[in-house]
Amino acid sequence: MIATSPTTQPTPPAVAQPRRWSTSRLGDGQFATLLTLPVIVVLGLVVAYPTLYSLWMSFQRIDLIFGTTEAVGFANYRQALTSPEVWHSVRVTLLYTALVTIFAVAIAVGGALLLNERFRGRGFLMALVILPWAVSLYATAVVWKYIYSPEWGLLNAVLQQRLGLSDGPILFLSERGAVPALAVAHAWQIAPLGMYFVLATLQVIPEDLYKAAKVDRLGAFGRFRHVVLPYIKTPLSIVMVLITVEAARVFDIIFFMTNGGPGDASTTLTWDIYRQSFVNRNLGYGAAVAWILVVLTTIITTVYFLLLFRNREKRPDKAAVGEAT
Amino acid sequence: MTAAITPRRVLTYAAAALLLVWTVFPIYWLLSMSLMFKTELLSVPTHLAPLEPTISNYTRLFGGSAIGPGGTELPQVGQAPMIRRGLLNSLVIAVSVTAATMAVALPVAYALGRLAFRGRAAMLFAIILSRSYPPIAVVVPFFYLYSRTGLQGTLRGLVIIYLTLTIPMVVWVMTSFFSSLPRTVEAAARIDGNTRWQAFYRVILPMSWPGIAVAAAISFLVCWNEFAFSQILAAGSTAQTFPPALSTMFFQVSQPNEMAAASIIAIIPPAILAYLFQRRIRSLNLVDPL
Repeated sequence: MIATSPTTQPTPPAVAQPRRWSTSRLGDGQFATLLTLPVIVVLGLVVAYPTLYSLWMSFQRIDLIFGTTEAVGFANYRQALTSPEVWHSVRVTLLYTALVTIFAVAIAVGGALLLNERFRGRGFLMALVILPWAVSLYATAVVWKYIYSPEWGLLNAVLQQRLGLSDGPILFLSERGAVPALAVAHAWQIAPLGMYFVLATLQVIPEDLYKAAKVDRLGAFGRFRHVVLPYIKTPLSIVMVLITVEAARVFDIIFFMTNGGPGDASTTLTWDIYRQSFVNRNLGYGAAVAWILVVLTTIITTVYFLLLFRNREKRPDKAAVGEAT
Repeated sequence: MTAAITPRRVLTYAAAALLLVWTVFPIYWLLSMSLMFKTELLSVPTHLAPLEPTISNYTRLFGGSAIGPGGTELPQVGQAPMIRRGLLNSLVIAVSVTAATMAVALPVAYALGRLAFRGRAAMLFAIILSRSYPPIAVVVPFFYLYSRTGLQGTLRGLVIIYLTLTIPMVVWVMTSFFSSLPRTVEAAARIDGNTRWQAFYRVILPMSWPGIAVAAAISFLVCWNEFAFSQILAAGSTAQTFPPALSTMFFQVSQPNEMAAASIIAIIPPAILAYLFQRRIRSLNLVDPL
């Protein structure tokens, strides 16, 4: 830690002058408070205040046209929790989130294992794979809408016209296909960050462990199971939780690609909140449904936080980093 | 140097080819569409690359006129002025939000990364929680508050709500960066006669510019790429950013080629930033800063 003993103080040039106040007189805790004060004020105004406000809203019936509110107690929550629409969108959210996580983790781990190999063009590919991450979610939605398009889509051009795998154009965004198709698009965008993170972890695995695995005659799978997995287990769970939260928050992709449809096949909680709040202008009810989503993401985030903090010293990936610094 | 052809090498190159196609093809298709006339796009079988590439979709977005394949003048893009205004708004908002974010987030990230204090864990948890807060849940109270305070459809209103996205993100990234600097820096700075604040401001900050540049780039990207807030709080207003302007174009009329061109324009700044910073993004831990 930073030394705070008086010996590190500069010798005052003029003892007669009263010493000016300086941050050096503060302890760690006081200086930290000073530094965190601005962020507490700003986040208090733009996050905490609206959050509490939305809690209040969820107990009101709000009429935007007349600008009136009426306290209705738990009516909004009762309505939400007994609404088949809300439960449907909870199910869609869970399915969508699970699919995005599975797809993205598979891409991230596969890509990282590949980029950890030695081959020509590796540097180029490594620089290139970040590209989807830089593409915003709404642009990702536009990109994939045109990939899936039955009229001029790339996938139909290849699958149907070139390979003849289908008689007519395939409707990817159909009632059954919409959620998986959206999940693929989202996974495409979100996977690169996980890939970089897993790759960084793979690169701290000591070379000796691979050599030992060779001596023990372990195959590719054995190497993955006994050498790689212990290292990437915790980082991978962290990536998974992050992706899960991102997927549960999805909005842009639904807005651009399906509008929650066909019917309500891809109506996630976020889309339900959007529709209730800003299409039906039922802000109190929308706020109540939003709180259901917040509870869901808060649970996931708490798991994430505990993962980061728990067993820190036992993690091989951190132990290696700790020695280096 | 020639290497022997082993099954493992074949597999590696096949996987590399697959990853390349997976990464690039979706964007390639958008680019290809943006360089076609609509008549070519609608031809069957679908052309995988434009036979007569044209930049008319781009020039018309910026107010130019162009001659189509049949020798007739192509219609004006009705949303072009809105798209241009949106680009400008996006730029103004992204720059102001990033500047404000840095001023607020850097000190706290320094405290979280290098000082031991009570409430550090609680602070980190609060930051992670704000990071995972669903934007759609954030925007519900903002919509109501803005509709009553006149901040709806204003650049100011958007700047304020964008801070809820950028501050937690930048604090997260910079906490990781500051904690990776050598532990002895402050002690040395203090021996040289700096106060605690000066050690941070005059010594730590200047030596952290690589991390700060990445954090600023990420903050810029978050604002540039944001859609939901602008759509819900400013769609159709003069403060509307680029993405909602694009969505109007996407849903109102069927102009896929012009739409593809506009989307490519949206992708260019983030792609450049990602390319410039990819090495740093890889070394900087965006996921686990502790």
